[in-house]
Amino acid sequence: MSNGKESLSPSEMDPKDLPDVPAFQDELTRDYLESTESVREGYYTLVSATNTFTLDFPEDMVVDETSMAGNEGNSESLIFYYDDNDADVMDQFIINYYSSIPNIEYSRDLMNRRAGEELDFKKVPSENENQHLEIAEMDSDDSTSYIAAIVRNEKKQEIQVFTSIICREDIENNQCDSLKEEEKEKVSDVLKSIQFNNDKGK
Amino acid sequence: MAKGILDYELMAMRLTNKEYENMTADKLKSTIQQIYLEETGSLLDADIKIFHSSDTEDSLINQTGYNGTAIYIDDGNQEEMYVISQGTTNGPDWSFNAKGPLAGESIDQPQATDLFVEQAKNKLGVDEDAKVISWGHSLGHHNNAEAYLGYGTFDEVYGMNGAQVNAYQLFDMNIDFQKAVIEKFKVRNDADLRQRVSADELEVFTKEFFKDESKNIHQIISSDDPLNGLTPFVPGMVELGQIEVVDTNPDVSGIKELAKDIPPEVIKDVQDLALIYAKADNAGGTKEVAKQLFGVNMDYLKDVNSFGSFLSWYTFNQGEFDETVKALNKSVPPLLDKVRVVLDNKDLIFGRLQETGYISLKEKDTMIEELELIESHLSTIEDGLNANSSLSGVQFLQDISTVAFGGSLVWIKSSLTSSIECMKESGFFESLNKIVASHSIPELLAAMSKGNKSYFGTDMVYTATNGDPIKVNISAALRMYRETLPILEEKETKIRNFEKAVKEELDDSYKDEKRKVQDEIDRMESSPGSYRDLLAKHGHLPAFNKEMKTIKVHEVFYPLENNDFDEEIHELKKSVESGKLYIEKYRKAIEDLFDEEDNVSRLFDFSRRF
Amino acid sequence: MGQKRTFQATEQLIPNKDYSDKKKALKTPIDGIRENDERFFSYVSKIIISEDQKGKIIDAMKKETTSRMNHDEGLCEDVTRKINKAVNTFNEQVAEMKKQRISVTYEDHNME
Repeated sequence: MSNGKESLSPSEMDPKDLPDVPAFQDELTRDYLESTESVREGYYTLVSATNTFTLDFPEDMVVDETSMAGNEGNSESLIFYYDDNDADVMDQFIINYYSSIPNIEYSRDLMNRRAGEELDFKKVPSENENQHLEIAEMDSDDSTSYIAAIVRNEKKQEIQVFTSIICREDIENNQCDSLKEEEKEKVSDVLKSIQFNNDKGK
Repeated sequence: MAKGILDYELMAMRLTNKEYENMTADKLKSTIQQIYLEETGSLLDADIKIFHSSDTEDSLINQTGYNGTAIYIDDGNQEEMYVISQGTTNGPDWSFNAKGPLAGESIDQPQATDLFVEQAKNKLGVDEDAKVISWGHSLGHHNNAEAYLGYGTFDEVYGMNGAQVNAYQLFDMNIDFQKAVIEKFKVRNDADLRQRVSADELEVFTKEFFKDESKNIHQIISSDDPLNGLTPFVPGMVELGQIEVVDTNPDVSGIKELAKDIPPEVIKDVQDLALIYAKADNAGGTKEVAKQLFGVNMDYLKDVNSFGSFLSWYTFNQGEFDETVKALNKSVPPLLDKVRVVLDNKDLIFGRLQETGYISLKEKDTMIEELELIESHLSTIEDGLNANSSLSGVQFLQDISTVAFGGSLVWIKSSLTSSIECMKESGFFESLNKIVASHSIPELLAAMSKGNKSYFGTDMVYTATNGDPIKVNISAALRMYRETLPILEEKETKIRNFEKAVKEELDDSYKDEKRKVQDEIDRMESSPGSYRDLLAKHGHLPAFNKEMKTIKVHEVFYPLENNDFDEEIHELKKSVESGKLYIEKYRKAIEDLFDEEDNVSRLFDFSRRF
Repeated sequence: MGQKRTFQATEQLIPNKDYSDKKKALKTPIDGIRENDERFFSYVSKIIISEDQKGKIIDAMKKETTSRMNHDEGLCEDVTRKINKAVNTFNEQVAEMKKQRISVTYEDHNME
């Protein structure tokens, strides 16, 4: 995109000049996006409402209207999913950011309680310095899978994520399985892209 | 359900309200002991430990503004932890409470609640199996109940005039529930759920899903509680648990009756206006209201008192004018919208308030009159703003609407204040306080009288059974009996301090001064040579050819007078002794008001044993 | 040899000082006592819910409470007044004692 106004953020631009994808055409989602320059094919940088973390946001997703920053930016909830309600598979990310959680054991326990089962978290190498990422795959039934994740840094900032992956009702089990596998990769990529913004306020 | 150590409804209500006072741990402990004694007639023989949310270091708890207290109790047979979550930091202020859970999206407080419980368990060394019971009023209950249903934070939840849980929030918090909702309604995300499933259906399903948990939720709600009255209007708000409804203000017909048939969006606008008003009023009285309401720097309008001065201000202070217009552009239209909605429904809103007994006819008329006045001026300002944006400077000055605009600006500055004063003086806001009071725990307690026992604030009141039906604040009487003795002991110490001060500051100090004088006399008499200057000083000049021989001081010292406080000190000491007798006499006087079976004597005895 | 002469005078032996701050030192415990008394009665005042309640026992206790309050208050006032007087006297007496009559004898070597 080149409209001669490189300095404008997407929310300040004329929607006609924005990429014709749900992420930019949805007014609320647009506010979260940093620029119209993609980080990789089909993904744009999302900056959280509290400006405390970023992630690679899929262009065909939109942010839910109930997403919000908590008291004085010390917490945030961010929910997003595919804009197309009839997509073969629907992913929904429920992300909770907290400015300070004392220890990860507590977080795992909390996630277990929310999930209603013991989650088997596995550490995933993080490309982001001083950041810890662990992911657990939940028990799933034929049409639905869940992925849980914890991202944490040395400042005790923490992000807890539950992602649901749900096939459309009419999709056969076999096909659903392979679709879900594909989505799990995508979800995992988004989770790995989560990065705390250490220069908060810049 | 096993009976808990403090498992008495009234104890929960009284202690939850007391918790708002942010007492020290020791004070809270004795308050627990006393309330237990009053409610059960026996001593609480248990180990009590207290942990307050402000005692936590570095965590989300303080940052989110969560305020609560954990009370660990071990009576030898069972261990329990009670967690009291405060409604809001600024106390039982229903308007701010209403805003949070009704708007209903932030979950940082339930999260902070869970984290606090976790930290309290660690700090107090609570056994994993110990029962954790939460008490909460207003938003505190909302946080407790959501933490319970969303995270499994508690074993039991007890709520008083609580804000209810929000099913949409629980959908995001409790993944088990989420799965069930997805399964049941074939939805795949939040928007889907909101759009394709009616709130009623979701609420019914939520109740069904949490059927078992609901057995562990107990609520007491006033039928006059404004927060409770609003629950049905908020999509997704679900009343869960066993609910006891109490009519705490029989003079009025109840909040549901009041709100009946009034469209939810109208209620919301009324609520918003009340909030805006409350906030502005809090900021510093009526004078500040205009500034707060409109975001206008009133200093700019200092000299604008007439249309002429308005024009000169407009012409010579374009910067200030533009800033003012900008502020008004932002503040006036939304305010005006709300005022119009309220006026469009004036008969319904103020009529209903009057019919149900909350306000008088005069209050109703004043409110409508003043709101109409405000509306007409705000409309003029809005017209002026529109004209200003479409006309050039010169045109604006020539336009007829400018005259009216200037007039209304002057009005904002001067008459709005008196308009608001009129509303205040009518008593309307005080009358509305009746509604607010129905959200409080004391009003619930006041409705809980039993036999000759009733409540006043959070105190227990006994009505005399022997002779005239005199109402005695038995909590205050026990506090008097228990806590005035240490005061008398303190007084004794201070009397001793005074004795000491008299000795040091007067007697000893006088001796010191005397010694200093004596020392000086000795020096003079033993070395007169050093005092040659006395010669010149007393006129024996020239001094150079004179030699000092002797100095003799004819000293006279008198004993210090007016330093005898013996009589007063004796009187003070006597008043301590008679004070102790007076306490006993008061106790006896109160006991005599009651029959023996009221066990008042035992309460007094026990009150000194913790 | 000179001539011995003696004169008498009133002499300020030590510079004067103001001791008025002793009032504060003495009043502090009394203010504390007054605060104790107030606290004491604040406990008592909450026991009977409404002022207009009547009854023989209550009336008697009310009367006794009022007389105690007045007595305690009066006592503190008396002491405070007396403290002022005591410190003023102290000031005066110390000032007085610093001035004494002296006789000075010297030898005059004046050559005549």
